[in-house]
Amino acid sequence: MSTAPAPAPRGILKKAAVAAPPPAEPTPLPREQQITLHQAQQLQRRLEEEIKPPVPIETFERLTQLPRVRRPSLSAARPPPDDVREFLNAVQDFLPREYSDLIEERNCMGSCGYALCPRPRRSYEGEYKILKTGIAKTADLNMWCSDECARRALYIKVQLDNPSYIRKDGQMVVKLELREEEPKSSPQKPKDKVDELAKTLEQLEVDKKTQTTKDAASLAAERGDVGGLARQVEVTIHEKSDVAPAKAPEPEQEADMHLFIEGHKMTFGIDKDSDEESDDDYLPSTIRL
Amino acid sequence: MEEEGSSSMHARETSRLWRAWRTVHEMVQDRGYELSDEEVRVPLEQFKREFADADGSIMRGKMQFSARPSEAMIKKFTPPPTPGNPNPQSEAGTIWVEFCPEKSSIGIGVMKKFVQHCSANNFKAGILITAAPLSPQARKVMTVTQHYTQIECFMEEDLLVNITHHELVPKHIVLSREEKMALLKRYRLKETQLPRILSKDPIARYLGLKRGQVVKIVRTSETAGRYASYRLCV
Repeated sequence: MSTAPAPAPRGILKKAAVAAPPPAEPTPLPREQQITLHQAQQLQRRLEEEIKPPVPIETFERLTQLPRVRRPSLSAARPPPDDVREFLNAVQDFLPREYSDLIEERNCMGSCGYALCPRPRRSYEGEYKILKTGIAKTADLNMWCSDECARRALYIKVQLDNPSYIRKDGQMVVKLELREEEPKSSPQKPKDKVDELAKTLEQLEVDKKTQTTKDAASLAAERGDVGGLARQVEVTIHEKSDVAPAKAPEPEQEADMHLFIEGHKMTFGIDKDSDEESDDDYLPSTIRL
Repeated sequence: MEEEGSSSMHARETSRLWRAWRTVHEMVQDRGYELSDEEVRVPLEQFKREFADADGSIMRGKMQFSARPSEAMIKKFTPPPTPGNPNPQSEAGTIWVEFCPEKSSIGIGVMKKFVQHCSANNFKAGILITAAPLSPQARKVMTVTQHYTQIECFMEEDLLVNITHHELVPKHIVLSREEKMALLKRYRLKETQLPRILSKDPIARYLGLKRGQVVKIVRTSETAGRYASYRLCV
């Protein structure tokens, strides 16, 4: 444009200076756009990755109504497999906070906080409750129907708090599993029980003897004694033979003993010249003549 | 002895509920709904007669009322006509107030029922008064439905006294849209340049302030007599 046909007035500036800037123009715009685009994409990715959409309220409603089938043969220990699948699939997407919300939501309905438990929650009154194991807040106890259910529910919570991921259909999902049920002790005859008790007691006696050696060995290992007890050093303690009664320290007798202050002799202001001179005579000796 | 204890407990609860009942009426009246003074200033005896059970306990399920907005309020909350919308509808509508009979904490179910009741009966706003706190998910239900029904929740213990009657609480007046525009024009301000008030502020909750509304606060001042300041609800 600048190099226009004849009628354009001729510039007085040097041509080289004018010609230089134009090529810089086309590049910046795409670069800015690129940066903007890049930033937008990053934001979008962060949005997708970090900000998980909240769990819909319908899911909560569904999970508060579990277990669907209520039969006496089914309990929290043996939940129906359909419910287990539904529960685990839904809870995979939960944040720990949302799982706490679910427990609270179930408690509002009066049921046990563990989603697969059909029983109602406990309803102790007062603020604290004395248990065999100690004192607990009733608010904590009332969340569940029993301690077992509390354990089961918190087992899930721990897995959500510290998730381990597995790959499923190309996506990483939180690995969740139910707590393994402790084998219930089958009802035994009283005699068997006594026998068992005796056996355990016997075992205990045997254990006691071995326990001390075991303790010593573990202590040694902890201290870093590789060889164990065999590498111990014999230590004998001898008493000193001549033992006189202790004496208090005494100052040495000297002539100028009276000049000592706390064991230290003052040297300032006690040389012979100082007697002749007055205190204010501070002039140098050359002038003193 | 036991009977005496339970009766005194009932009396206590009755008086608490009566106070909450009065405060919520005053609140609804202060917001601009039509309520007569007889409805607002209910004596305790009358309250007992209306809502008490045979054994003296109050039936919360019966404690509910609705109120229509007054002319002034309808006018105040009508957005200014625009070319696209020459006859705008007022945002103010009938309000429904209900005491929740649930004693334990409020879950999704209770909240949904309340919201459905409000929307089924075409109430523009609803106030649920509960004895226990809401569960987090119930709170979420409340915010989700904010678009078509304005749902608010109060706890009984928050309504025992009317905070606006306290001597240290100055008078708060909600501005209409035109008043707000006039204010911004008068002082050549942008919205964000106004001082702010949180929507969870007790007074903002009392007046049912929404985001973007401006409230005029009139204080008495020793030097100026009256001093007005404006706050934007955020």
